Amino acid sequence: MASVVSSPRLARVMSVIIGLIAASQIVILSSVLGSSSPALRDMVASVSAFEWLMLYVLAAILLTSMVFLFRLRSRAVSWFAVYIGLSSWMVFGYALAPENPPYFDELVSLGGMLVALSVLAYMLQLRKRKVLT
Amino acid sequence: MDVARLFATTVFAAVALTSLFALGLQLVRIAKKGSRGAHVLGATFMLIGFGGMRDPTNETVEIAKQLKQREDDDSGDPPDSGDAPDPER
Repeated sequence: MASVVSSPRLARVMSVIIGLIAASQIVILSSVLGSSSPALRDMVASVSAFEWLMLYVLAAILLTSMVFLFRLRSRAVSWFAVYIGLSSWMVFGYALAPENPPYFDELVSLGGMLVALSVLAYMLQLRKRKVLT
Repeated sequence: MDVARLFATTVFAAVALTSLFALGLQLVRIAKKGSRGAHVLGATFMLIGFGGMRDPTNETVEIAKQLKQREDDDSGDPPDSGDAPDPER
């Protein structure tokens, strides 16, 4: 079949870019948590421990998914779907809250979610074409 | 809330509910296989019943009781004002 590409460059490029975003998110979260700046300390105090944990877990799931995508494994789809599911519940909770957390904006999150859904659709297509095994 | 933010919230809710539905379907598929993992998962779900779902301080019921008591105390005729005639005269 001519349409089947054994090692699609786009998937690998996407996995590297999104994986770097996930890794940088972990680094930024850690640096914010370890910061001694009063403004950042106030921000840390305004977010619950559960939310910090969820942010770390989401970043770890995203990173895992992108590692699988880079290796062209079909498990990447499941991990990425879990990432989208968990993050959608989290941003839905934020959107319903009377006041947004300092790092949250509905429209930015909507854009991110649309991009994530597009990536998921692309990954599903790759799996259907047996590129992800 | 403006229209764009309402739209964003609606999209979040739709994706969240879809993910919940997909999770349920996946759980049913796992349960149908009847593997050891499915049994462990089912046993874990049974443990949810041991958790305390009720508020241990009973705060909600206490507030409701206080409101009911206040309603009972406030009911009836309004208190006499200074202009009202004295019934003993």
